[in-house]
Amino acid sequence: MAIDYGTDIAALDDLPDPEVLVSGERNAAYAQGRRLLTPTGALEAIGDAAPYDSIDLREQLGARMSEQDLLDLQAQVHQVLSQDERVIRVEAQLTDTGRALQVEARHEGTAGPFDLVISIDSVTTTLLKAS
Amino acid sequence: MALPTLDDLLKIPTQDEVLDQEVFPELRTRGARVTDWIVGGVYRTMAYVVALLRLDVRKSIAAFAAAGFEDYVFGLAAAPAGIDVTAWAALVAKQRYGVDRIAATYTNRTIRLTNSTGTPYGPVSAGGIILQFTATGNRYILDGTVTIPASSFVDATFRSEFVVDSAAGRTYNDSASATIVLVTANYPGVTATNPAPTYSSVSQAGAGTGTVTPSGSPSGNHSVAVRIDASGQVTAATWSTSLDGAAWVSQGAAGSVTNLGGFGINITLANGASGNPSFIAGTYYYFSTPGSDVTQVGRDQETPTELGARVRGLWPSLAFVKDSAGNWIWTSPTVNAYETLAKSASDQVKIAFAKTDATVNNKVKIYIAAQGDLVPSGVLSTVSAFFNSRSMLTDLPEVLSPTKRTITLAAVTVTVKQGQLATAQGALQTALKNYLGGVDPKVVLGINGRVDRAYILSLIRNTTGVVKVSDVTLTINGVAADLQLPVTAGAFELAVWTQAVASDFTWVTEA
Repeated sequence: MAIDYGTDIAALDDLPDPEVLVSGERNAAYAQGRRLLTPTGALEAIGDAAPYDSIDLREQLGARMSEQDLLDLQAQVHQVLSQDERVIRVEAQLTDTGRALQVEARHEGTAGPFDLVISIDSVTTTLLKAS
Repeated sequence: MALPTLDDLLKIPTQDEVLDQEVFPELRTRGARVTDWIVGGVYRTMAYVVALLRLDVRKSIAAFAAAGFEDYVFGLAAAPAGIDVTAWAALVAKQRYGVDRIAATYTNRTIRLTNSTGTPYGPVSAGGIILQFTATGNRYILDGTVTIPASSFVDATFRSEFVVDSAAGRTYNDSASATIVLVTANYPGVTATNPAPTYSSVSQAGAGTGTVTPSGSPSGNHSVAVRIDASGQVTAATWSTSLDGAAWVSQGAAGSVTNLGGFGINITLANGASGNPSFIAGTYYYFSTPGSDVTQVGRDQETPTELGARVRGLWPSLAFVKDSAGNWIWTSPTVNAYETLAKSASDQVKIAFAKTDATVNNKVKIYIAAQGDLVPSGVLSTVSAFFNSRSMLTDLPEVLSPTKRTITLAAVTVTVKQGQLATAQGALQTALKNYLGGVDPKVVLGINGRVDRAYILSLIRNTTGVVKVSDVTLTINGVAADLQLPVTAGAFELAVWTQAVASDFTWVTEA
């Protein structure tokens, strides 16, 4: 039986005002996007002790990365995105454009496939695709 | 809505309890449409943040509520949920009773600096010389300007490097005639010693220009009080003596007394250079033997519990009330209040013990001591003068010093984990010094207290690293049992302990 991806606020690194809710695959994509914008251990620090793998890619911006560094970081992103209980399989690709990091991820989820394309620069985080 | 009870206010829930009992029900009430509660969800994360903020507020509410109850503030009762509001003690004491917390103080000593060279040194400013007592490692710092003369000596005041902090192992009960080395290497040919004089200086409480001078070669530890009973010049004034806090013994109108109490103490009275009569009734003179190089006995900061006991003792004479002319309003304090007043009269008074006299109805004997030592005679006169100035029309307070009772622990073997020997010895030294010095907050050993053998054994056994102690053989002053003070019937005795566990105990290590 397919599991509903649920409903939550459409938020990545800030809360929308007024509040906007998002459901289904888009909600799952937003949830995956937040995993890439949350420092490791941040949720535990506020008392939520449930296991939660995450990485804040903003901390990597401006770093001088070799091709191997980029591959290592991509592996981390893949690892993080694989942890959501709604995800069966994911393929993630990380691109460094020089001014931004872009992640393209194709998910096979428990309630169907969904995609996430997110671009992170020093000023904004943009969700390019969530479906 | 019912107002919260005190239990409600003092309860600090867990974050999960806040979530389950407050945040989630509130979200349901408000009809939140969110269904994604997987970790990392926005609403879930916000709920945790709100619960965390709420938890902080509940902690503040609990602390504020607990701080309204002095038993909690002064550590006389344990507040629920581990709330510790004893940090409020100084503020509460000041705001409600007008009493300042007694701060920790330095130990001051008179050190003799002897210069064997033909070159004087100085003037040396305060802080210019640092000494170390080799037995304890305690360091002392020159506390004033001094010049060390050539081929001679000078007595200078040194203060302990830090204020006394028993919990941190900073105690300065060094013995007289100890081995001392100069840490500062700028004064070749200079040696430091701290000889104890035969007698302390004589301190006077009250009027009169006459002097009281002790002499002779006394034996043992003794404190002496001289009271002028009828005014006059020498051989006209009548006077009495109290040895070690015992009953007053009239010396009539004698000009001197020899071999007081059979201890070789001689006392001579002499007229003052001016004024007649030289001796005024009601004046007290205090001295002790042997004297001490200590001029101020350092002490710990007053604990919240001690502060609480002191301020509560003030109820009969709250805030030391004076009349419009600046005179103390007369009072007849309770025994607790006497002890409070004694501790308020001098910061050096750590232990006070008040007892009504067995034979004279209105007489109150107040025995005072410093932390792990007797108070200098100057403190006796200060406290005595403090009571005399309070116009106690119906009471006759007498301030006296107890007698030292040296405590010796023997026949004890301690087995300790290899590698933890030094740590265990250091910790045990501190623990025993605190208990036998009367500053262990768990078991307070006061004047005429009981030296509890079982407690000593528990201190040893509970020292980190200790795996066994010879509980059957340990003796206190030669007997394997509690030692109830006083040993001398009718006396008032203060336990004094100067042993070093590292050398005086038998230590066995095991892997």
